[in-house]
Amino acid sequence: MRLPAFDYLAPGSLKDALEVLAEHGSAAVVQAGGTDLVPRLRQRLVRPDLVVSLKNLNELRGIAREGLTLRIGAMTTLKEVMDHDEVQGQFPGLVEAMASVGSPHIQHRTGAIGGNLLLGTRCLQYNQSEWWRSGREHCHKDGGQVCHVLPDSKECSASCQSDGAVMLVALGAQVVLRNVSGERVIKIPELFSGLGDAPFSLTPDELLTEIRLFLPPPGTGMSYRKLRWRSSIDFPLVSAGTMVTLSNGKFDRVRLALGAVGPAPLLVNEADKALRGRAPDSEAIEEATAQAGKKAEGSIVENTVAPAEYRRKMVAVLARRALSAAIERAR
Amino acid sequence: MSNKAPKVVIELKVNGEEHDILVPPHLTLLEALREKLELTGTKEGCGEGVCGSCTVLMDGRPVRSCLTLAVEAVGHEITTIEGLAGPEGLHRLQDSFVRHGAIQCGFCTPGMILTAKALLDEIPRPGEQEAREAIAANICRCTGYTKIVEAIVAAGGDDDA
Amino acid sequence: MMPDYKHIGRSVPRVDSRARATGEVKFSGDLIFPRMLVGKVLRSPHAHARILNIDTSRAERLRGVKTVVTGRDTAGVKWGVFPYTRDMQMLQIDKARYIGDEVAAVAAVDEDTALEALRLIDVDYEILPGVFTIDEALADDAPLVHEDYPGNRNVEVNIDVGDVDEALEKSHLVRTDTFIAPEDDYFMGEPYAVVVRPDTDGNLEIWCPNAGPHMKSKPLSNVLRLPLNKVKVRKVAIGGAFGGRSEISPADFICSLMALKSGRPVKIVYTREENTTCVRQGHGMVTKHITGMDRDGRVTARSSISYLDGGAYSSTGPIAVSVPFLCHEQTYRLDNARFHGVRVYTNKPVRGMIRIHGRSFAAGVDMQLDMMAEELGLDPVEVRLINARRPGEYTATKSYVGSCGLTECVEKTVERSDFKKKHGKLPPYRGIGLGMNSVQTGFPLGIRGGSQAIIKFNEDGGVTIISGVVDNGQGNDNMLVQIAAEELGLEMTDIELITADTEVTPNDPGSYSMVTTFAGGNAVRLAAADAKRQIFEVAAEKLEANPADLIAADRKVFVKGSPDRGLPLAKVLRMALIQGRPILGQGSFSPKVDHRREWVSNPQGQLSEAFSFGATVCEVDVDPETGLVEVLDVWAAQDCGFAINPMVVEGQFEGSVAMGGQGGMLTEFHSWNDGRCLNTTQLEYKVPLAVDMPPIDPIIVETIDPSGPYGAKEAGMSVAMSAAQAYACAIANAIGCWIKEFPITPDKIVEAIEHKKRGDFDSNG
Repeated sequence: MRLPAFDYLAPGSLKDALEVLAEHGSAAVVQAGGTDLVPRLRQRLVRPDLVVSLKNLNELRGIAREGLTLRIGAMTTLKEVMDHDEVQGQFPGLVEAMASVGSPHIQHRTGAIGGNLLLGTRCLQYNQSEWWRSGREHCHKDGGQVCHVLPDSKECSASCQSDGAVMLVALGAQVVLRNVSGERVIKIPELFSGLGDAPFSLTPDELLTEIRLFLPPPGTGMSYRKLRWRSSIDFPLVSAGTMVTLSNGKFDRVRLALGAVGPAPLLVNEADKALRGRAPDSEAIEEATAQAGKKAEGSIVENTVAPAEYRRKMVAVLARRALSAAIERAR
Repeated sequence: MSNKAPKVVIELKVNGEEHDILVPPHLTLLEALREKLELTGTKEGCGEGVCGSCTVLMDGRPVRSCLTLAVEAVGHEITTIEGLAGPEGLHRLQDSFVRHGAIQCGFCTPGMILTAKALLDEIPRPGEQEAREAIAANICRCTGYTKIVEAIVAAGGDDDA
Repeated sequence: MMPDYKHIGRSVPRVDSRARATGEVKFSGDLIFPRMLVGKVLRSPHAHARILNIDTSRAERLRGVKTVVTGRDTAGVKWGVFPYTRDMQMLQIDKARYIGDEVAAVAAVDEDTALEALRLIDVDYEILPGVFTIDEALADDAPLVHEDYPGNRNVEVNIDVGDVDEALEKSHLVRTDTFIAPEDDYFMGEPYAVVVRPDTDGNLEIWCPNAGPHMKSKPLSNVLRLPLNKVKVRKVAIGGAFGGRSEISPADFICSLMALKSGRPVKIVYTREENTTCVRQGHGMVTKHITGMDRDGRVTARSSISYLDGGAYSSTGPIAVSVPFLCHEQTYRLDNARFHGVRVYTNKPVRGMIRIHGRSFAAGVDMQLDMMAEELGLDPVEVRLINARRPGEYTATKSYVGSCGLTECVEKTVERSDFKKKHGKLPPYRGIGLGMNSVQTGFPLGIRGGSQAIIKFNEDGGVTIISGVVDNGQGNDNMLVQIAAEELGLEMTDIELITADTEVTPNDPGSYSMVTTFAGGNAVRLAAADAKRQIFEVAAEKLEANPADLIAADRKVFVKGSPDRGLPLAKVLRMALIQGRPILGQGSFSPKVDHRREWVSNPQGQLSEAFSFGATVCEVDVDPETGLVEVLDVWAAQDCGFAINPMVVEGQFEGSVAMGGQGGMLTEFHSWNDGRCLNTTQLEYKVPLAVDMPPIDPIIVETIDPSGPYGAKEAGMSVAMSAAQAYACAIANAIGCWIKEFPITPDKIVEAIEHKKRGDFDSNG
């Protein structure tokens, strides 16, 4: 099926790209690898006048270590991230997250880490073809005024199904956003608005150029666990990314982030509060994961093929598996 | 909304040959190959980059041509299924697929073979699990994958894939 | 003592594989003709709506649009697979009955223009209340999908043999269980496409996926009001059918109409979504089995009631309703059997026959046997064997079963899997299960039940087979070449094929009734035998021998025992030409079935001449926390009569395990919002991937059917069905509870385990 027509620019430099975005604003969409954008174009979920391709922006590619920071260009492919020595050595959880995205094809060549982070929120009632959607009222995310998942809701519950986003939240990563006027550096949770229909707090003229990771202290372990019913291709039904630091056999710090439970990755601060200073025994873990399950259950809605009730039950399971693996690695 | 975004002339390098074609920006690489170059071996199976029937090699790595704009493919070497067999005959993988009964309806076959070729380029003698993982995102509805995996492993060897 | 065949029974690469490996072979969507137009269909976005008005004027005026058609351009004739199921117009005139129903179509110079033209067609709909479940459809004041089908009852099949009630009353144990499965789907690799090319004499050439080109040409000739000789359905590569491409599709008609009106070739290519919802799907089905068993595990009676959600039109309803029961009555000895099957209309996509005919029915039968075996303390394998079909018996509806290797299939899978050592002795959440089933090799198809073949010879010894057989990817073409090569003593490379072209090739029943090898293969074998007889007559004179003593082998004809004093076949052919009696082989084969048998009005008598039988064993490991099932191993055995090409037959078994077991029992189902299908894509409808497939041990059982070519019957479908049953039973065995809603997705497993821990009874009651 043909895509809708659009104009296309592939600026040769970041400066040029930012100028184009400043000029066109929301009439333009940015294309990184295109693996999320193109299907949405084909379904006419998005109808830009202009597609701005980042393919020529080599300055957005590459991974560099600067002191205790690992700087990853937004256009670095998932495979480049996964295969990098520093990432493999220091961030095995990120390797797991990258490795779980979609399919080998997308990782190898096309999928960019920035694109994965900015993956559009998804909902079974929304991510459908134009013709499919034309038979009834448009939903909030589709420019309308209803929600086909929660009939009385004035808000959109489309969920964040990005693997990278969840793990990067667990890692406490930051992103750099630039426009013609300058740049701002924010923590990833601030990147998410919490709204299903407008999930990112980027302004139309901003470009996400870099992801910054901070080398974890000794005694840190991390892992990413993803639940899906087939072992490839599928988005997560629920996922958990976690980074824990132990000192003297006790939890020093616990970052637990949940994915596919709502419009943004959900950082379970309660887990950190509950576990700090405690030994990583099964009782402590059960408590923390039960908290995680409780926190997420309200925002999990019936927007996937798998029932919401099941996904709610799985939060604690995935959180426990991720935590257990992270604790093993921390030791 | 621009319905008449101007077409551009682009040069695509496909199977070692350069072609000048006139395309609108919204034409995918898949459509360019099938319609402009009449290379119909690459298929549209799903339109969403899931089934793998549209797989081509771009600089040797497998990509979903249904998710790739033709204009994005400029400057890269594209290999389609038509570019695999040589004057001496079938590529080792094609021959292995034929001999092992790894082809039933044949619709997924081009994408499957190219994906396998990329695997062999990286891992010349893959084991069964490696072969399975490489084709994890190539959907076949006919074979149950058993003979496809056999064919890929059997084709493993030290020569240039 | 098996004869020593040269080609038959050998695992030779298929003759049509090479062209698929190179991407040269053309599927319908690959065809490119000069001045070809792109066709697109406008479909109702509403499940049930009256069409008040269609204004196509703006579309017609768009530059590049060559023709626009609506129901007004048709004669409004309603078509049906059976004379008593004529309920479908090719373009709707008065109302749309499902989301996807065809309302209008355009043909334009390119796809962009065609898509824009669709937007310019204005349709006024009056939305009507619809029915979206079996219960809704059967409710007292339910809106009617078709005015002339009261109560939305489309087809009812009633079979009642023996005295079920009495037998149940006398049984030692009776169980009643209800099994449910929503729609499953074919998800062939190739999305539907149709190309029609007209010529100036009013002839049409048509290329489209099909399961028998004659099944397309006749209905097309009817609805287009053209004689058959002007409707030429051509041979084309087909990317899978699995039962979903047997009938004429509205797109075939619409494309033909636009080709005729524009005078240009037209191509319509379906999106994956259209392929999912606008062709066919498998039925959603609810089945209640009431089964009686005596103390030693013999089934005394079974009463089965099935309701099928048929969607908006009849399609092959009578067949789809009947086959689940018929497969089971072939498999199991049953003197007292009752079946009440009701197909119901709903405002949803149309459902037809599918390779796994009624997974809830089939899995229900075997699961119930396991339940009853457990209750009575019996071995589930012994219970299967006690009740299993033996050769020389009659089914409940009076089909005679000739060759039958069912018990051998069960014994071999049980042995290879170590079933008896494992069943009941595996660690927690590991399980093993057995399923068995049987499939017809053809059904009564009236005037279209037989296959004919012609074999023509070139003077240099090469041969062309002309046969109506169609290949959907399963290897039918290759089978014909193997047979002809064997019979005529040639190499496979000496043989060319013209198949599945209604202008040239004679009749054939099509592949959807699993009869291609049996009928089509036999027809070619007989045509070759006919040719050989003529060849031997000519050669015998020259060799001064008795024709009965001659052999054709290695491209020669010679007296048995004297290969060095023979004649090259090419020479004999030229001799025949000179003598004015050129060799032309002709053969036809019609399976011996009871032509009075009818699905609804007379469901008794010989259904097929032969039946295949299969058994599958599956071993699983369940993650009790997530409900994910890891399938460890599958052993699949089928009595296919004889394997003309073992490698091809194994491939069928493996594909069947994937579709019937792995997909059919673990992940495949359609979700709905009323009439709206929520998962039409390869992303959301989950067919199995390579990384999730288990190792499969395919076991070919050969009973050498007396009527099949070389003893061959049907290959694969009995495995597809028994795999579904084996998976269901294995999971039940693993988790210690019976899940009666399929597919058995992880959420159901988690819930069942929770119920069990709480001490609740039978999950899903």
